[in-house]
Formats: sequence, C-alpha cells, structure tokens
Amino acid sequence: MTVWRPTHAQFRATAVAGVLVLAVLVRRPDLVVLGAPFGVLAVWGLLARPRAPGPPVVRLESDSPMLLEGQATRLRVTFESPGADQVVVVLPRRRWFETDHVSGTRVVAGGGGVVEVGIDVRALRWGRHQLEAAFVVGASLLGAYRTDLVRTDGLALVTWPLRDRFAAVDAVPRPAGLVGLHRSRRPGDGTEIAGVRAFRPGDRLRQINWAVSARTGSLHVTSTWSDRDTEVWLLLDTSDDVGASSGIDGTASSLDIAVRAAAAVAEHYLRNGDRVRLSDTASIVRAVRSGSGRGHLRRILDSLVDANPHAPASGGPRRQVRHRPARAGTLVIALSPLLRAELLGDVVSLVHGGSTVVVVDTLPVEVTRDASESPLLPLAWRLRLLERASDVDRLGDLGVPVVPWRGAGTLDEVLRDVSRLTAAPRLR
Amino acid sequence: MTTASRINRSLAWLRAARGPALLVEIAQPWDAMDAVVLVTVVVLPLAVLAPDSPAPLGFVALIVLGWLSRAPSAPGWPVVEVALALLVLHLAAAFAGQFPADADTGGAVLRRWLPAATTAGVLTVVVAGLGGVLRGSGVEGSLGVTVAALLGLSAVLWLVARSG
Repeated sequence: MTVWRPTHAQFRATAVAGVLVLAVLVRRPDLVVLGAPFGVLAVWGLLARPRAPGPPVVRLESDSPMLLEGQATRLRVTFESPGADQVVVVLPRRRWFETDHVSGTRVVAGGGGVVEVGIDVRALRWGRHQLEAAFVVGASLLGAYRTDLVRTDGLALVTWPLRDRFAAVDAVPRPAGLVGLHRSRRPGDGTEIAGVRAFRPGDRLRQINWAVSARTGSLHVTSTWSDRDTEVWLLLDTSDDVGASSGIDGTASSLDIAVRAAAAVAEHYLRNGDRVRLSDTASIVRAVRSGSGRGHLRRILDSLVDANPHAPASGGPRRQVRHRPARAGTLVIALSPLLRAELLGDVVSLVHGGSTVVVVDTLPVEVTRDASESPLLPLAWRLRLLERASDVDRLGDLGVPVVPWRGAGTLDEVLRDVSRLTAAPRLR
Repeated sequence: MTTASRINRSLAWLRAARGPALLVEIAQPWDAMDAVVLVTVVVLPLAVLAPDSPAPLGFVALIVLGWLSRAPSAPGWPVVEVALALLVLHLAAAFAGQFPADADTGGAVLRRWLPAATTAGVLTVVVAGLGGVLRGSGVEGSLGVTVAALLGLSAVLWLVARSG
C-alpha cells in the first residue's frame, strides 16, 4: 500500500534542528542561529504532511484514442490524493511518439485533492501502439513527504496513416454506376451543371430553364453531368518492407509509402462517393470488402494500421492468397515495391479480367544508394533494379502504368491517359 | 630532504602562489591539515550529484561540526551567513531531490516554497540579533530561560519521534 513517507529532506531538517539541543547543552548561542531555520522547516514540513486515508489514485487518459500521423494529443495523468504540493510525472519515451518536452518528465504544483498533469504527445508513425505506463510521484510542501512510485495503466493509441490529402482531377476511367458524387464526362442526371441547350424529346419538365426559354422564345433545358461511382481496389503488397522508417518527418520505408498512399487514395475516392476495396497480397492486412462512406474509410484505416511484416504473427513464407475476382471496369491501384514476381502475376490476371490497373511504385529511392552497411550494396541494388526494370517494361507492354508515389496529384496524368485509352474504340 | 619536508614545501608553494581560497585553506602542513575542510570538499560534490541522499546531511553536519570546533561562540554576521547558506543548500537539495534533473518544471512549484523559506531566513536573522542583544546586555540565566530551553528541547525530540 502506498503511503506518504518522510524524505531525506525532512530527516535532514529535523536532524539539524537537533543542533538546538546541542546549543542548550554546550551553552553556544551561535548554534541556535544555525539550528533555528531548520527547526522552522522541520515543523512546517510536518504540519503540511498529507493525511490521505488511502493510497493515491492515478489514471492515464488520452484526449483522443485515435490520431492521424503528425497529429498531437494531450495525455492527462490524474493524481488524486489530498495534500500533494507537487506531482512529478515521468512518461517513458516511445519510439513513434514525441513529447512536448524532451525528457517526458513534468512537474506541476498541486493544491486540492486532484492534480491533473498534461503532456502533449505527437504521433510520428502510423500503427497500433501501446504507450507504456507513466510513473507518478507526489510530494508534500518543502519535499518533506513523498509517495512511493505509482504506476498508471498503459494506454493503447492507434495512429492512422493519413496526413496528405490526395487529389486526382479525373478520378475513374470507367464509371460503373450513377450514384457517386464526383463529376462525370458524360451528361446525365446529376447535380453538376453542364450547360444550357435546346429542349429535346425525353427531357424532363423540371429541367426546363424558364428564363432562357422566355428570352429566346424556344424551350431550353439545363443539362447536367451524371453523378457516378465505380469500384476502386487497393491492392497492397506488404511482403517486403524495404528501407528505414523514421516517422512522418523523416525517411519512409516502402511499407510506409504504400500504407500512406493507400490511405490517401481511399480517403479521396470515398469522399467522392466511390466504393473502395482493400486487400493485401501477403495477407497481413485484413481484407476490406467494397463499400463507401466515412465508416468505410475508418474500416480501411483500421485495417491498414496492422500492416507490419515484422509482426510475430506475419512471419514465415508468403501465403498464396486468393482474391475475390474484380468486376470488369474496376480501377485497381496496386501499391508495391515491385520486388516479387507474385504481384506481377496478380496484375496480369486483373488486366485480363478487364480491370484498369495502375501500379504505384513504393520503393524508396534512397535505399538503392545507401552504402552504409556495405559498399557493395549500391552495386547489388543496381543489378536488382535492372531486373526490376524489365518487369516494369512488361507491365508497360500490358498497358499498366507504373508511377512512383509523390503525394497529391501522383495519379492525375496516369488516370487521364487511361481514361483517354478506355474511351477510344477498341480493336481486338 | 625527507618526503614530509618535500610535501610541506609543495604546500607552502601553493599558499605562496595565491591559489584559490579553498586550496589555500587545505594547503596547511600535512600534519596540521583541517580534516573537516578536506572531507567537506569531498562531500559537497556528492551532495550536488545526489541531493536525495544522506550526502547533503553529511555536508551540513560537517559544516556545523567545523563551526562548533573552531568558530567563536558569539552570534554575529558570520554565523548568520553560514546559517543562511546552509538553509539555501538544504532547500536546493530538497527541491532538486524531488524530480529528475531534466524535468520540465515551472516557477509555480518553487513559489509555493517561498513563505516557509522566507520565514526560516528571517527567523535566522532575528535569532542572531536577539542573541547578540542578550549577550551584550549581560542577562543572567533564569528559571524562565531554562524552562523555555527545556520546552524547546522537548519539541525537537517530539519532532524527531514524529518524523521517524
């Protein structure tokens, strides 16, 4: 049971106050001068001794259990024990969290029964993290009495891999339905105004633009673009994690790039009303079936935070994963460092199944130049990249563009080209 | 020249070189060195490095012991200066002993100690002044003074018993 115990300071003050006794015994008034201030401090410390009936109650809470990468939240440590003059909180450092003070140790003045200590932490990398318990010590006035070290419970925090807002000008090459929110190139029922044109048989009465009709003397209607949706399939390759990850402000590994890109693309398409599906070639990330809406984005992000090929459960050889077949016209965005042949097989099957496939290359460029481990490493990488270039060429022959991830706008040009390609007449 | 003479000559050279005051104080002939000062020099860094340990108490005890053995018994400014210095040392050690050196702390924590520290400091000066006045006026010992001293002694013993 935790109790308030006297500290060295209180013992020191009391012991030196004992000089007053010595002063009387040896008749030395100067010793009274030496002992008097310590007597005052000893009595003051004793009178301010906390008299709590039980041990202090400590809690560790977070303002937000879920964070985005780079986002900060405040951790609140609550210390409940009457009489605490100051409370010391030590938050052990965690690799993917940055505290507002470098040591993670904060001292606050007490007073009253409940003391709340706030420590701001910033999430540096996506993932499911377990914050270690904080250590708390309460001290009375003048540091005379102190509690034992009290440990809070740990805290689970989830960091979603979302930071940059992804944007694409032309979202999907082959719209599959008429329920989405973003603009189509095809006229039809929708909310986006395309223009005013002369009335044609089949036009609805509510589309008639009466102002223009009265001015021109003939019936005119306001035409709109069709609202549409399609299925976007994010095919993640988590088999390899190449390169060093040092958080949101530092270098990114291939898995970092893939996960962040997948989250950004999913957020973009779901915001525009499309349906998004997620699966992983290595089956580390739980597959998420096609869906739409904000709730679906949350499902995808929750799944993405588990993408850790070094996790104990995900070790061992790559499993053969059977994907649910894609609907014709599905836009497949494969995110991979393109270091394994298996993904190429998946891409070929999808292209033959009628899907539009775009491969996002997630291999970090820096890793191929890193000679810190061995001077031969860049040479080995050059050989590997030559092999990889032939794979990329084969994908190009199939009509599959391969683009490196560069944040917002990465897929603009590619999607525009693919749209043009799909709109053109086909020769078989 | 014997080894003892050689050491003493080196120490004399140190004194003549007008080195730091502390070194001059230590640099007495080897058979007449002040052990209290020597030990204090060792204990002070310990007290600074480990404020939440018996080291500060050891340092304060050594200073008091040195004062008791060498200094004049009359209260005056020197004893006030020493008492205030010990008070500051005690408070600094008590404050520093509460948390790690790299902790993020604010002035509010320290300000709460101000009333007690000020009271102790003012009392030191007042006691020294009273001691000087009483000593200068040649007041004889009386029953009242003895009883008050005994009461003070009892209070200190009670304090020791409570805080232990």
